[in-house]
Amino acid sequence: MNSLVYLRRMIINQKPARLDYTKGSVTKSIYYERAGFEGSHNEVAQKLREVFEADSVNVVTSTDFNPLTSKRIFAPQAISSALAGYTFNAEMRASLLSFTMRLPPLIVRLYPMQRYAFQDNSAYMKMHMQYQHNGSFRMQSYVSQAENTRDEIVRLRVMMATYILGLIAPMNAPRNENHQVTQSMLQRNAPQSRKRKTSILSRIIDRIRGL
Amino acid sequence: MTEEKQIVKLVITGPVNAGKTTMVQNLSDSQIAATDVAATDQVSQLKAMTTVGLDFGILKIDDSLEMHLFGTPGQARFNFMWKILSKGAIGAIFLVDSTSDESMLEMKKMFEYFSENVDLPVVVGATKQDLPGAKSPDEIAALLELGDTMVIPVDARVKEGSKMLALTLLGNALVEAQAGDEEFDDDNYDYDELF
Ligand SMILES: Nc1nc2c(ncn2[C@@H]2O[C@H](COP(=O)(O)OP(=O)(O)OP(=O)(O)O)[C@@H](O)[C@H]2O)c(=O)[nH]1
Ligand SMILES: [Mg+2]
Repeated sequence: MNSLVYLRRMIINQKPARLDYTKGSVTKSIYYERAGFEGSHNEVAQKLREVFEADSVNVVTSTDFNPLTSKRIFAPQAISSALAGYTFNAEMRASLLSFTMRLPPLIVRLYPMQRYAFQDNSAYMKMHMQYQHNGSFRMQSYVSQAENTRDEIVRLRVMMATYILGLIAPMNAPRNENHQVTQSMLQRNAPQSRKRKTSILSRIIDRIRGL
Repeated sequence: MTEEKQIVKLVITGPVNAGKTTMVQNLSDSQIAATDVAATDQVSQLKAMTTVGLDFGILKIDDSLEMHLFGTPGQARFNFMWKILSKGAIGAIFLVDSTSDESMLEMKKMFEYFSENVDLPVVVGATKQDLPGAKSPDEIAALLELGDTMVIPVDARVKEGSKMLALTLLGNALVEAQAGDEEFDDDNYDYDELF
């Protein structure tokens, strides 16, 4: 499921990038820049589905791409379209489940996905409610709570969308200022001010939950 | 006991009568300088008490951190406050009275100014959903052209609701801050790591 990781980094990075992906013996590309993925609505949705199922992917960042068209599909819109009605075969399902198992405890961001016609929005809202209720979110238990295979597909699609769009993030904010040195060694290039900010936000969240 | 504490700010703003004073009270340990007075002129047709100046509350977070809550009035003449308040602010909550067209109009002006001039995590709380004539959160989002900003129904009088709104804002801010920590080095991708 490396393609999810690549897509997430591409979108969060916000820099112009080209993602090359190979399925069988065919290699294709999809371009991304701040405004979104290049192409028409259908082209982008189709390509993203191919990316999900690709054998291998690679990202090239550069500022001097020559776009073929000026059409751009905003990332939340593109991911919503690609996932609309999307189902997976046994192999894909297995790799999505194993990807899910590797996710750490998460924080969840509430984002107006319904404005981009995200079909699984109500499942996403429930996921955010679980996060609000518990103060952290376990994707493993969320997915394993599925009542049937249809429901499991919905939950896995929500996992894909929230992961790729950066609506979930690991809950590893350093709560203790003393641990900052090790933290910043683990997470290369993370500026101290950001670390401090996550620490402050986590402490306020804990306090308000306890009100 | 003069240990130095860090102070961060939370701004709660919105048009008249939206529920700002109520929410600041709900989220503070103590409220200092309450300045509600009997309303005069046009406002008095709307409500008995209105806030002159700012609402201010303090929430002690821990031994080294304090959050100051500022409830700021909606009138456009208070836009200058953003310059002052957004320094050290962790986010902004906009409250809007879902039943009032005037509130919507004022809110639209305020939010326009905010989007163009202030860079802070933000959520919109749509109050008075329990009252007749309330517009739905989706209608409000469309009307106010809020873009990517979340509109969440909330009753400012209910502590749990106020908490949830604040937690949504803070959770969103935290995800953004964490995601910002995923520094992606162009020549040094390491895709074994999920985050
Ligand atoms: N029914 C109902 N009343 C609410 C709700 N939220 C707030 N109120 C009430 O609305 C009134 C106005 O609330 P305030 O907190 O004074 O509003 P404000 O934004 O501080 O108003 P100004 O200071 O005049 O700008 C109060 O009577 C609140 O109790 C709600 O969700 N439903
Ligand atoms: Mg007031």
